[in-house]
Amino acid sequence: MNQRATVKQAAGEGSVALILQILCAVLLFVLILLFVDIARQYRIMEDGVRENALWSVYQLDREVSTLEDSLADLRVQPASAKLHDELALRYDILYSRVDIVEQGKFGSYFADDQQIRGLIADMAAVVRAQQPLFDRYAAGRLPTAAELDELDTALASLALTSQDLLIHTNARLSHERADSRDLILGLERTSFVMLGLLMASVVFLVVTLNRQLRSVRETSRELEVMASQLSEAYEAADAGNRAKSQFMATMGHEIRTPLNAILGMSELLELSELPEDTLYSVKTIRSSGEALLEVINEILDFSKIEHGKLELEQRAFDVCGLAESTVSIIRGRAEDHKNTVILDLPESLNTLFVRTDPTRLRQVLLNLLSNAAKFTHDGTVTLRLREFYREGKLMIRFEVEDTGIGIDEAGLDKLFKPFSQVDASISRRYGGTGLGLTICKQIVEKLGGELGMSSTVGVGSIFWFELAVVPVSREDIKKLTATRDSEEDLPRLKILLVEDNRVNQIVATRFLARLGQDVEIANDGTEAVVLARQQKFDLVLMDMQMPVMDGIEATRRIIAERGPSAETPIIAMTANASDDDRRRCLDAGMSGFESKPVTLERLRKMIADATNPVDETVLPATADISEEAPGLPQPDLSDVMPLQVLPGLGIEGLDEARHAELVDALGEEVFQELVESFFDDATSLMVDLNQAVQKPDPEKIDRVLHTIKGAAVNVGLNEIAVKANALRGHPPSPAQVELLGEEILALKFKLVA
Amino acid sequence: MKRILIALLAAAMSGVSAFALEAPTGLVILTVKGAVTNTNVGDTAAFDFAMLEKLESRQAVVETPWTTGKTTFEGPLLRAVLQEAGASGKTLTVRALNDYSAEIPIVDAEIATILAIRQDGQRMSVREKGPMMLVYPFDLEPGLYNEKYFSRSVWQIKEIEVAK
Repeated sequence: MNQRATVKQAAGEGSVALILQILCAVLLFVLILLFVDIARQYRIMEDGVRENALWSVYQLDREVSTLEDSLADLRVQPASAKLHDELALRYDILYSRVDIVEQGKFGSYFADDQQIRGLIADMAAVVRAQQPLFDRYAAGRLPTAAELDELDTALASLALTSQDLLIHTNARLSHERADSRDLILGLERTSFVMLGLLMASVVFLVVTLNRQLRSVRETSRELEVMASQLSEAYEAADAGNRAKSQFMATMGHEIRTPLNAILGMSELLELSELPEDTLYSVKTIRSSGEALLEVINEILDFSKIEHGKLELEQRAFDVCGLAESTVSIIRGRAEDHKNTVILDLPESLNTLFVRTDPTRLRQVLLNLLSNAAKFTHDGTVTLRLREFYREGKLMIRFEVEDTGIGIDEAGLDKLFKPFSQVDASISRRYGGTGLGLTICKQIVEKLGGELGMSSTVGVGSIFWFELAVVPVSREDIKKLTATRDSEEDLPRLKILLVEDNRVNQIVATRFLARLGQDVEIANDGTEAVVLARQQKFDLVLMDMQMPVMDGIEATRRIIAERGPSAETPIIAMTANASDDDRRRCLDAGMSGFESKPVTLERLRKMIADATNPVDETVLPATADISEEAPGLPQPDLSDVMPLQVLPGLGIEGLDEARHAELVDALGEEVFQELVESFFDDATSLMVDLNQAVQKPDPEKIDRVLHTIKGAAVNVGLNEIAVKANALRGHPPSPAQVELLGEEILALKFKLVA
Repeated sequence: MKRILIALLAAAMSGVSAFALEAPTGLVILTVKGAVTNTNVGDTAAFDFAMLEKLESRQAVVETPWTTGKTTFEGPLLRAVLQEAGASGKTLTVRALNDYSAEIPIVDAEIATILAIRQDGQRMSVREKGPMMLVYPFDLEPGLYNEKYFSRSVWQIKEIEVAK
């Protein structure tokens, strides 16, 4: 309806504009006419600048009479010389008068009138006929009486002609005056008409302008209404968007809480003695859960980036260490596709500590690597690091190269668009949200870097990004190492665990027991407040969302009551790891914040931090690496999937990171037991392998090699795992098998003293 | 211009009041009377042709309603004649032989108005609107070319009366 009105209005405006244009043209025309008219009038006035004809004729007539009078006077006194002179002067004057009437400039009516011309000519002839008489007088001869009689007669006829001329001129003049009045009247009428037209035009113009103004006002009012409607619509949309974000956060929390329980329980299950097939099932549960968690985290991450809420931190860490641990995580997946993972690190980068966001950096690397591993079969995935300087700044270039399916040009366009995968069949075959690269790109850009890629279908792809990093000085590195040392021995603390979820309680309790801590459990905030009032705890681990009383409120109360635990550090644990929550926790008086799921490593660090507070901004780099990233808890795939190693990575064939992790989680003794049992197993497995090679039984060879590899990776013996893995795929020679056996023996002597 | 004239007139009136106009030797063709200080015939200033020819003059080539085509008029400037006569006043009454007269404000003398005594180089006879004709400078100021100044353009002048 509005549209139709607008169209109508537009048409109306068009015709109004046309009318206005015509009006302007008419006005112009009228003005020109008026000007022409005025010019004509002026010309008429110019023509009017003439001697007065009637006056001249009257003067002529009068001079004739005067001459007659003068002659009459002379006839009375013929002897008077004075009267003779007077007569001569009067004649001269008459003569000049005739001249004037003959030659002077009068109106055309006078000059062109034949009758007038005839009369004047008659008079001139008569006057000039008298000239000899007066010339003779001037020469000294007096006129005779006869001559005077003759003059008298001539003057009598001249008087008659002059009278005729006067009457006729007067009549002609009256006629002319009437004509001229008619003309002026006509002009006046024309002027009046034009003035009327002008006025009409002006009135029309004013009316039109008024209408235009009204329509403009109307339009602006409509625009205002439209603007307010738009802003209402925008607010509604914005509210919808906020609701969506809230929903995402809530869902994230709701999904992550039970998932946390699932992952935690399966992690614990794996640690217990299980038959192999059950263990495999448990591992599948955990890896699937972790994959699910990854998807959820990606979606939450993306929504965070989309709302510009991605926050970065600055920490010092070892770039190579990060690259190694990231690669080790991905190895398992790569292995499933029979891929070789190569980590290409230049010497110069060894033990280079830089300051940037390691969590996000690892997220990006993991994503690129897992994509590479996902889309590559029987190929190679390479992570390559290169340092260089650009404009005096230290830059690191990270390259993830694969020999996978590659991407065509059409696919490249879609690559960095959210929720898009190169083609639909990809998502069916490989799964995933299609958000990974978008997130990576955003993160890299936020870190001040640049992400790009090149690809050839069927040959492979290279994804790269370049990041400016700040190298960390030696002093800072020392400090980090010192901090790490202090973490080695964990104090035994009395810990209050506030957690309403039964499963989570069990997970946390078992982890804490493993870490040698005394644990007291409160089922909700109220219980926690009561317990804190009665006893002094060294650390409180507080769940955020609980029935009866939530974590924030409980924290406030514990602090407010000034009981024995009022000074105790309280650490929040929540699956809802938004920055806002973090702020709320700190506002309530909590001293730390941990997002779920909490792993052994994290618990360990928490306990360490509780007794030995560390400068938050300079956190231990190596500890970070073995940690799961907050906000994006990376599945600890190294447990499940076999690792591969490059020469120089493992020290004495033992993966240091894994070693530390296991020792941290289980203690040195348990670790030693693990290693010993590995070698015990390995001995019998080698016997099996030798038998199988001699038969030969390729299936058994593979199974045994796989078992050796899995067991080796489990305890961090990556070199053995690599070698065992290398023998798979084609039947190994007895010599190769022997070499492997020697290798195992050598390590056994090194490790099991 | 006006100030100069007034100054001149004032000078004529006071400083040079003792200055007596020489007596006319030829036929008197112009008599200036009324408020005049330099007199020679009774209480008037009388001029013959020779006296007028000696005064500051100008040549005006103009068209008039009474002549055909461009005509050259020549004669003394009106203001020169008035100064010579020691005249001071506001209006002039210019009279002709046939007793026609016109009242002229004295400011008309400030412009280059002349009392023409020669037309196309020749002395003007009474038959040719002589002996003297008031010619406004239509050539210098075309705005003067209208009936108002035509009526002031007296010919066959015989006397000028100066009124205070």
